[in-house]
Amino acid sequence: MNDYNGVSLSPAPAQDARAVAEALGSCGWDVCLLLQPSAADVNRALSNLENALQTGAKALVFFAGHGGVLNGDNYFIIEGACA
Amino acid sequence: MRSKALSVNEVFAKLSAKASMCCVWADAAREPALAYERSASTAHQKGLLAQNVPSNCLLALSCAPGCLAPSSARAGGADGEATGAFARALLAHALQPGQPLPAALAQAHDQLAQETNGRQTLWVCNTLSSTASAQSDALCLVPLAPAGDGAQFYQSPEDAALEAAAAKDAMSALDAAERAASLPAAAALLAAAVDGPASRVVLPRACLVLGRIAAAMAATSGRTSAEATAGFRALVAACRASQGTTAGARTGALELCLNATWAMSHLLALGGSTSSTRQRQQEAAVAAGCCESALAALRAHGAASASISACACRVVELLCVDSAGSCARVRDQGCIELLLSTAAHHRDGDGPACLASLAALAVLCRDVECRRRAVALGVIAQAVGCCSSACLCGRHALSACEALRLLRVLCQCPGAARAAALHAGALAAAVACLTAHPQEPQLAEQALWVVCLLTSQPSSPQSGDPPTGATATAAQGADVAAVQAVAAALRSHTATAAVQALACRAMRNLTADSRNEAAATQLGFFEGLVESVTHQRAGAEQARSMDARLEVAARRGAAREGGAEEALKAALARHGDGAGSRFVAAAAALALEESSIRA
Repeated sequence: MNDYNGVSLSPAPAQDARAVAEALGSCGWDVCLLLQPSAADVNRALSNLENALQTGAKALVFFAGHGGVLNGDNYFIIEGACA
Repeated sequence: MRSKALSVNEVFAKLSAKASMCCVWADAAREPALAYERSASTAHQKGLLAQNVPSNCLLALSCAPGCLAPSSARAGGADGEATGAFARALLAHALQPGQPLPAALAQAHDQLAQETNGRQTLWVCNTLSSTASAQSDALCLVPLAPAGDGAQFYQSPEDAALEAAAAKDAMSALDAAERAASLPAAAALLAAAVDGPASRVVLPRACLVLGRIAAAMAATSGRTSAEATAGFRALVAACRASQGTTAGARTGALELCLNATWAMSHLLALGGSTSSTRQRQQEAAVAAGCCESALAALRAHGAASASISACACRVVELLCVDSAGSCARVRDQGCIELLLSTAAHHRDGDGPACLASLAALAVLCRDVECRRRAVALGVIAQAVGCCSSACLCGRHALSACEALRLLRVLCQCPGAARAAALHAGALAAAVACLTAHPQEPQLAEQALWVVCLLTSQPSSPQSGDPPTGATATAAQGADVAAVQAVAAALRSHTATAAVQALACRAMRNLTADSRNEAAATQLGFFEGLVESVTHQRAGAEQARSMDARLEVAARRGAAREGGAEEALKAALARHGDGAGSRFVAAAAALALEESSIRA
């Protein structure tokens, strides 16, 4: 996530996401890269991954952006203000 | 927040059910770098927390729980790219082929701390299975298997569904076979899985189940070897599948190869130590092609995987024990070269591959042709080098012990090996091992065997008997350090009968040289020996070992010492009858006779 409510993070987390995606892809991983996704994009990608995942496979999720804690649980903040 | 945020727990919940390893790398604890970022930040931006994760999952946080990564730490790399320190550290270590993820993250942690002067700490919440660490690629993001022909594994959704259904059925059947401890059932399921639609998933598990059943059978008195033939055939087929060229097979090649060779070793071990049952098991394994499979595994993965090397070497060892046919078979397929290469590659430390390759070489070197080839290929130098390494670092006693056992085999057998061992410094290596590892009785036993054999006359190498005649050239080659080491071994291992007996034999050989005799006298060896005889509380086994002591005592001490004579009489009274006492009685009588003649 590079941008929250029109405010860009500096430096851009997207650079990290691209670097990780390219590195994993070059090692033979199937990669799905989401840049500045909506919450719906993320949920759809996660469901697709869940369905496509084969028993015994390995899965990795990399998130670069802001995070937070609510009621003791960790969250990745996807879009906009965190209210 | 929930509708615009993704719960980390939700990620794990969705992916961990099917994944063998599920990782989340969270670079989400960022300190707002600029004023307008800070204005946009909220109370939520206090970093992430450490949390429980489901089994076989890992959560890597970019900094310690509740902390924020400093914005300055996110400065770009040397190439000017604005890649963050966390991502740089992860990519530098986690994608190394064959690198287990926990170890990689430990290295990434160190790099991150160094780059940020300790202001950012990579934090890991981890439930990856510790048992998976035995399987070389289970914890690696990038397996060791070579890229090969570059073919990509593709599976259509229909094929994936078919595979999943078949795998489910096969796994259930395997569970049932394991519950019933049925070797034939497990072998049949393994054989069926080789060409089945779910072979990629089922084969490694089937090998594991078969191996576990065999191991359980070997641990009980009700072991059997009659049902093993089908198991060997299926395991050989599984090994072949692990060397397949399709990307699907290659993905799990190391895991499958490891499981298959591991199971093969347990199935072979079912033959036990009785020669007839062991021979039947060996014949079944050889007929099924286990020799070729083990060597192929060593050839393909010997350098890359210590676990596979260890299992394959163990298979070779079990196949070749007292079997000239197997020795010839594996020798002709380059086994000696492979074992030497494996031992050299995994030489540092007491790792299973090092120990197993040395043990297999020791078994093979009992065969005259194998021994000849091994000596020509430098097995003696390798074993001596292994001992020297263990002495230099003061550790690795297990590998030194195996190397000494190998030297013992080489010195025991008639032929040029003994002379070559002497020339290569095997005697000095054995003495150095005794000195460097004074508290290891098994190592002491093997080292003393080598000393005995190399200080005996070449005419009697089998027993390590003392030199006959006035001149003992071998004993003259040993220096005072050998005398000191042997005397120390006698003092250190009073509870180990074999070490006591061998130390006496070794000293008997060494003291054939007058300088060594003087050194032994100066060290008080003979007085200690007489005292040891006097206070011995021996059972039959120890009594057998005392003949050498009494002989030495008689020859060097008893004739000159009245107290020694009394000690011998006491020993004779204590061990003069009963099982195993005839050696003691004869030696003591001889000693007393000699004593009275001298008096």
